[in-house]
Amino acid sequence: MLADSVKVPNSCLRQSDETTPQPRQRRWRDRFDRQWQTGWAFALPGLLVLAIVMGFPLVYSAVLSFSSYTLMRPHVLPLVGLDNFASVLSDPGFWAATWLTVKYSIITVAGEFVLGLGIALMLNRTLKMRPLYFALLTIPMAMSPVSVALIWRMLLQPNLGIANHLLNQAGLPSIDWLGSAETAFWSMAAIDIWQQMSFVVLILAAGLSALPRDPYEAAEIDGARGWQQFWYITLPMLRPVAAITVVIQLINELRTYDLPYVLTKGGPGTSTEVLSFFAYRRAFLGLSLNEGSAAAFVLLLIILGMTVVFFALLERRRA
Amino acid sequence: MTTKRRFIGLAGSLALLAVTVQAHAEGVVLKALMEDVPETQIIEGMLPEFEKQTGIKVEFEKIGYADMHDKLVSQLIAPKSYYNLLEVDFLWAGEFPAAGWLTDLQPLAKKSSFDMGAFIPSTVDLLGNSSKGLYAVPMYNYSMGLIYRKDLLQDAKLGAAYQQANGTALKAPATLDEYVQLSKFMKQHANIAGAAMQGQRGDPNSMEFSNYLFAAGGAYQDASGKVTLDNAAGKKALDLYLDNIKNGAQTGALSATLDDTQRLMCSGQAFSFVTYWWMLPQLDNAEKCPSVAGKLALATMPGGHGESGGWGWGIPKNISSEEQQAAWTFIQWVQSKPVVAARALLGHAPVRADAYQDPAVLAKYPYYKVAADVVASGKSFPIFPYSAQYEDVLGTQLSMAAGGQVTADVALKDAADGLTKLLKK
Amino acid sequence: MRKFGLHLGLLIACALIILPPLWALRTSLVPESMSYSTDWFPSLTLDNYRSLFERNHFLTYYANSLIVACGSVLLAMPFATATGYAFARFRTGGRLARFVVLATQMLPPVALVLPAFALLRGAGLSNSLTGLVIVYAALNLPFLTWILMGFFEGIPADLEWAAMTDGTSAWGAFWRIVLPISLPGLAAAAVLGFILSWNEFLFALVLSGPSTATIPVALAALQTSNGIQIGKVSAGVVLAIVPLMIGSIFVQRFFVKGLTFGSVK
Repeated sequence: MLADSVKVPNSCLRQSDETTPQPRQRRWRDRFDRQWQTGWAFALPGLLVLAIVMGFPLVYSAVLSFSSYTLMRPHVLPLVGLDNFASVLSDPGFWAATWLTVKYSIITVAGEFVLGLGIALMLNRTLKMRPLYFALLTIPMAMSPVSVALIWRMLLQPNLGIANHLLNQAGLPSIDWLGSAETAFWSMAAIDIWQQMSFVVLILAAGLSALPRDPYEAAEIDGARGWQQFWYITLPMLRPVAAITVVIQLINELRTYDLPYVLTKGGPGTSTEVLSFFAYRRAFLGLSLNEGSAAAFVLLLIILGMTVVFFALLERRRA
Repeated sequence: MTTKRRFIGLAGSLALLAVTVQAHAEGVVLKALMEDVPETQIIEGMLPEFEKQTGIKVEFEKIGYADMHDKLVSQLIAPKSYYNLLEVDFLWAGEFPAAGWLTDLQPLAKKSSFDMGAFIPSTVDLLGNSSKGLYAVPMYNYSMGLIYRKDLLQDAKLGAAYQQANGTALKAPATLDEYVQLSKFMKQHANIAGAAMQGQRGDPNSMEFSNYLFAAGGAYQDASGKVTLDNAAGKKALDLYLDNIKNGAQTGALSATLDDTQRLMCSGQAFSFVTYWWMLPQLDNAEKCPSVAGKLALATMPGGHGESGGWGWGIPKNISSEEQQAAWTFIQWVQSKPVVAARALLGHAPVRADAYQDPAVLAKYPYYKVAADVVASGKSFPIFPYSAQYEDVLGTQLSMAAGGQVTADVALKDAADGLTKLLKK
Repeated sequence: MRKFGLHLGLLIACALIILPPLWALRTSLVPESMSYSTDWFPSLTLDNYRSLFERNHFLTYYANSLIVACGSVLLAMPFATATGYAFARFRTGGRLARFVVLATQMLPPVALVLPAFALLRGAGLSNSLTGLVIVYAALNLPFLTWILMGFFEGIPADLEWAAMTDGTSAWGAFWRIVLPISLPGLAAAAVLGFILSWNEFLFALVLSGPSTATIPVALAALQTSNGIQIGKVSAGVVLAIVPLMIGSIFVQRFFVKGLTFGSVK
């Protein structure tokens, strides 16, 4: 209903790759597509840098995953085909770690995004104390994951830490934050959300500030209320930036390593053993660079798969 | 204090200079990756002396334990290693020689008539040395024993309660059973943790469990190399370990590391602590731990044998022969009798037998008598190329059992199987 | 009234977020043995900071981190902006190129670090700041490209199209029209790139030497097998936060709603 009465100018809406554009938009889309050489001129330098600096390690790592290279026997040949992958995939610990990592990533990304978006929206509407808020809100991302883990370990120390001390003073019992299989997972997720939230705030605040004013002015004239403006104007226009934020955070969370390494070393038991940690155990502790690389590439495929699926869902909804 | 600071300034500028010095090959500069612990600092303070005697400059680059291994490996697999003097942990002492990264020091020792017999045998063995080759010269040890609150054992009220509950007098435990019983008693009656236990998965809990295993008369392998972890003694050790961690240890033991247990003991909230014997002077310190200073005692792990660990000096293969010679000169100097005695007086944990009998040392640290026994009676975690990985495998099983994820029997069997598998690798 | 609600919400958010770093600040000013005391200030001291600078050469590492982070951002941004624009407007390489570029980000660093070390060794750049700058620039390029791609896609193409119809080249349209509008995105990407380099640990550990190490490596060294020197860690964390706080105050000026579109009109 409202969508009919609020005429958001098409030119201000983000164009989808898949929807049939209006004739005017099709023309400029064609124009850009025709200038594909210019496009490559823009893209080539960056792609070359990537290819040179990251290409070699990537290819080498891929080759290792098909090889019999271990630190005990550092020879790439003979190639063993998919043996390393088979060995990794047949390890029950691998599947447990995969499921745990996927669960962990979805929870943390959802938490970061929702909270981050909320804060970014509030920030967007204030002007007065904004510099102060901004400076404070971005502190967590200035801390390296190792520092975050060490500081939180101190706070959550079960016998001497300030968190339990405050709980006890309020009459509540101490919580075994990192020493109980159930709470360790959630403690780690909460700490991760605490830190990554500020990334999301930064990018979404930038995104929100880049939105044009026209649609809002038009909506005000038409009598649209706050949440309607949010739902029908802000969200759709924010979509590209928001989608990419989610994808980037998803990739980061799926690769989480420093936090479990410092907080719990994958324990208690296997309750915080994420995939990168599993790969690390093979590659460095197990001295089997071949299996570690195979595990790393399986992780890459999982992440790639989830990213592609996420984008497919996003584009379908837009149509 | 100022000489130390001056030296550090010197070392810093030397580090910058060394990059150019290396190119000139004028004189060898020894570069070592070291842990930033008191042992390193003690030796650092004596480096100017070494330079005066031999003209060889030595630089220590300090880093945390967890990252040392990875940084060293990346250098050792390269054509030439940046570090030409190595501090090798006993857990890597199986991996490094098997991968062919370390020079055999046997010929060097023979040529310079270096007396390996001066070292306590257990410290030499745990570094993976054998008749097949000498790859690491002992540097210092971190053998584990029991530190406990002797004042609580002398408390009259607790004594009476213990007598009533168990029918025997309250005294220092002589066996593992007695220890766990005492620990649980303290938790119930003395309102403190009976034992500050390091339950974190990996190095902390597998090292701690090893003490229980050896104290119960168990072993990881028998003389022929067969895995005996899951025999009767092993089962007993695991049951007692789980009993203690569930009923005698502090809250949150499953996530605790040495840092946590040390602070807990220091604050007076634990009765006992299975740990490196040289933690005693660090805890029995009126300045740092006023609540427990003067109340602590050291004993060999109840049962007679604890877990021994240690660091050694090694020389990489992928460096020039002049660098190897310079490194060997340093090793001979730093582990010689007078230098070790000087280090001991500053708090070093010796690996030379004579250091424990040095009158000056004993006068300053009387508990070194007990320490000598702790070190001599210590047994070692299995040393082979995959020791570090086995720590993680065993640690995971222990953590799962302690958290109730699996039963003790399953955990023990899986731990034993894990060892067999890795030994075969 | 609404303004009050907003500020209240933001204040609560800020409180939850800064309490841990605030406790870190407190711990940095307290002697190591009292780090875990539950009093706010059992005793004040600057020893942790002093020790960091004297014993741990923190000033060198701090300078190295600044050089490497700024350097890698300055190096990466031009490439990321151009490639991001190509992906957004020209759809260069289609979907495949976008995901391949992002795929390099999907591999855990653990798998890449030893080959990267071999590569730098071969180029004679191991243990150097230059090598680290190049590696970080390449490491962050995919994320920066995607973020900028997202911002560019959110900008309607009308203005460029209008300019190009009038005869401006694509490059001219990009330089004179798109870039000024996308300042928030550029600022956000630059900050992100800085942070990723500032906090990166594994590559810094393996690829740097004693005089070229960065802050995360220095802080990691404070975890000894003799315990964690949490007082010094806290001091290091407090110092590490400072550049970003200063930077964010500067950068947030770009994030004022409607600033860019208003001016373009």
